[in-house]
Amino acid sequence: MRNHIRLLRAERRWSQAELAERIGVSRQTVNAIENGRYDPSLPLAFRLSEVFERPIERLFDYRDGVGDAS
Amino acid sequence: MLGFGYFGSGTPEGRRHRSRSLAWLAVFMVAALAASVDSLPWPVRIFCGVAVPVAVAGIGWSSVKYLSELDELSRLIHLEASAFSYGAVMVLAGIWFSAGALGLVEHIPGPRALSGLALWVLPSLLIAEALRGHAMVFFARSRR
Repeated sequence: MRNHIRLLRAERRWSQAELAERIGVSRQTVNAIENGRYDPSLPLAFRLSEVFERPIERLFDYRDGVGDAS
Repeated sequence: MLGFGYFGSGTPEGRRHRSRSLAWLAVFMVAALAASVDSLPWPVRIFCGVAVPVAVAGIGWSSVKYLSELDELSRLIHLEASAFSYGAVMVLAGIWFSAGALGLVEHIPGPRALSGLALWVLPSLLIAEALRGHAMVFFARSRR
């Protein structure tokens, strides 16, 4: 599953650690999500949606492929 | 590294897990040794014998508590590594058993060996834990 997390985080000038703290996970988890190595659970996807103030479907793109969709 | 995996015990929850596990391990060691001392009175030996599985359960409880405190990716990596390592040890145990049943190895822990101290359990746990530590590094790196 592709996602736009890295782009949205960069727009807000947040570090991975800062985003990790906001959504309550480790920095490694944020890194794995951004690199398409891990698909977050539904609750975590909703937390991401909340901090970026975007609907989930604007964060994730359910098509085959890995990495940042930007 | 082997006991606590890639995400380490540098975190507060990791340190708590280490302290709890070490305390239960100490109970396990003392109780296991005391239970096998013939000169101790039977009530004390029975108490120590009961304390051994209780200590193992304590380590298990500590691990479950630790997992519940981790974030979802760390927890997934721990579970994958545990499933792999304990599964691999079960396969090894099956091979060992079959080899013994076929007469390919001279000694396997049969009923006579089990009548004494089941010391073979400890090496199998050590193999599983060593495998788990390495599997944890592998699974964590595969998600970087």
